[in-house]
Amino acid sequence: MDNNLAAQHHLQTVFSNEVIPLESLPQFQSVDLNPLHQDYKKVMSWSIFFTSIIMLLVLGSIGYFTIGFSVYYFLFFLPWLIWFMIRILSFKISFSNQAYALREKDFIYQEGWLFKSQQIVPYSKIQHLSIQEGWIARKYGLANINVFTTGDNIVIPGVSKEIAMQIQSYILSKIQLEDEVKEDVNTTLSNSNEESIDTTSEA
Amino acid sequence: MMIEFLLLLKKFWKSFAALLVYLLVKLEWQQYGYILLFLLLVIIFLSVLAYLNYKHTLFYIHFQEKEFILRKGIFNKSQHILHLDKITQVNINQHFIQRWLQVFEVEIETAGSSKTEVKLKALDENIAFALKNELLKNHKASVKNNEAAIIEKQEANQNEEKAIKIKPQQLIAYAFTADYFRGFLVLIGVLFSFYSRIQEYLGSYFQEIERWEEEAIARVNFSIFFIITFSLWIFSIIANAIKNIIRYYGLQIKLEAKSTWIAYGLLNRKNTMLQNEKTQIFKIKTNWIQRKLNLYSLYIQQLAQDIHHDKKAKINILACNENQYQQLFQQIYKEPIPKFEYHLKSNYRLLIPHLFLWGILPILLMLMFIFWQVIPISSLFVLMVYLPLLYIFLRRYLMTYQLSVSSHFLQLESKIWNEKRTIIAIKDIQSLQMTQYAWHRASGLVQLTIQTAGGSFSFHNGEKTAVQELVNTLLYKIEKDETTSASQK
Repeated sequence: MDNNLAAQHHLQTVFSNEVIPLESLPQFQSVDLNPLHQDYKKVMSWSIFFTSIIMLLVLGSIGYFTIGFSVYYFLFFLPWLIWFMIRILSFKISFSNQAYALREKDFIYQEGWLFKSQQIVPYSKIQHLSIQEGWIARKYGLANINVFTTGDNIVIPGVSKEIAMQIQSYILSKIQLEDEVKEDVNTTLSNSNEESIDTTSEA
Repeated sequence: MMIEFLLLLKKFWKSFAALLVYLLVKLEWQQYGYILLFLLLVIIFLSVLAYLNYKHTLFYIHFQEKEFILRKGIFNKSQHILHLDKITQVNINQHFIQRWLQVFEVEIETAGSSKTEVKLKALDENIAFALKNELLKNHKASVKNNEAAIIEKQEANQNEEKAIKIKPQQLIAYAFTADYFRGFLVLIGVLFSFYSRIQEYLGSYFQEIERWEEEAIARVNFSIFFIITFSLWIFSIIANAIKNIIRYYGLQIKLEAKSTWIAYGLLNRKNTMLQNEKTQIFKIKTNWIQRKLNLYSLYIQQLAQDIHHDKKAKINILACNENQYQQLFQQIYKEPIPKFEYHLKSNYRLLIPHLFLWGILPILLMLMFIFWQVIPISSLFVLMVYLPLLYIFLRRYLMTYQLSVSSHFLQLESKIWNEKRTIIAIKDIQSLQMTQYAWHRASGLVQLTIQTAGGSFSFHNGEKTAVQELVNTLLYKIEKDETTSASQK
């Protein structure tokens, strides 16, 4: 009887397949997401400003060398004006929608207004991480986190450098931890195999 | 040596063919002697080059260092060193010339680059297969000599392997039922021809003679147009069928424990390997007629660095039957195709683009043609057949479009005329992305994009809460699979 129970218990631990109630699963949608750093707005404004200067110079010189200063000269700046307005508007909208969160087993990144998306990447699928600082962003102590999986890569912009470093080391520790667990299991398994072979050979 | 020469000749021909043709046209026939002389010189030059190339190409395996080394080059010498552990794929191909000379081409690929690393142009059959075996097996016991060992002939014991063979009649049946779009257009064509016959027949009875004459002109133009397009369709179907038969003739799949070998081709024999562990997406396609004939085609995606440029990562197997694809699935994933339970259906808004493309657009086109008097107004009767058909197909699409989950697999299914099943293992999911379009905010619909290392696919117009639930379940399963696979190893 005891033997039977033990066997049953053993079976249960080896081949368990319990039904998990869906409500008890961790809910990704109820996670509070962190917004990007406020200084990222300034970084973007500067970048738009510098790009504008270059565009204006190029357009201005094209206008000057083709028709010279005339009534229509200012028409050459029309493309810039359109670009500038779209850029400012899209930036304002996208900034308020970009957010991220780290969980125990995965991270969530949200972006987009017209196509609002939430992407979830388990840490176990991450190949590597890199932190990237633009020359404007560095002035404000901000950085981008690039996350590479075998499928695609995700860029989280406008994170303060310290936090970015923390995130990087956190995720890397998670990845290494999982690898170590796997290796431990492997080595213990292979060790036990070797031992069993040894005993049989002795016998 | 011979093959080197022929390949060089081919290269030369590709770059100078235009010039030669130009010279032949431009020059007088007395001057042809110069051309012959020139060609002779070229041939001598190429054969010397080929001989030198052949002499200077050497490859061997350094067993102790676990390296494959290839040296080549006459003036610019180069040495490729591939670490044996890094080799992911070895393909054995046979192009037309190679087939004629009874030699094989071996391609060796390594992890980390999508293009072929090393290509050996002409190897004896025994050496080619021995090399493949040697490169792909794990070297443990064979390190005896400290010196580099040159590959020796090794017989592959192929008796133990299971094999799936695709019969020529399967391929022929597939080729003629493959392209449903063309088939569908042909169907419409046939309907049109019936219709005009009937109209002709009835017209002679019911219509006044004056109107009849007017319409006859239009009808003649129309019927010529119809005959031309119809014959073009038939021609394209036959051409496509012949192309498929030549390309995939004698398709054979060898099942081994860790890899699957696929060989096909009538003129160019191709031999590709699929590593079972690297399979990411398993797609089964068929259509209504093919299902009745028990024909299915498979599209298998492997792990790829760059999905859009890496053609070798995609493997197509045409015209296998149900039993065969189940066997292949079993071989790759070590378990049969499961029964899927958790079904996620889509909202009726899924149909809007299809309704536009297949419903509104054709009707608008038809009305335009009628307005321009290209087709007679009575052809609107075709709609009486077309619209119910459209309704049936769209309804079927909405009813069958679903994302379903089993304990280890995820399946996206859709059936219109074509029936498609995309199956992936849950452990292969790289990331999940839930996207909501701005115009879906009120209706609460979202898209779910599932990323694997071999490409991604999307489920459209699911209800937000249901998709969220699914995402949570999938994340749970990914984590669970991760831990169980770790403990199983």
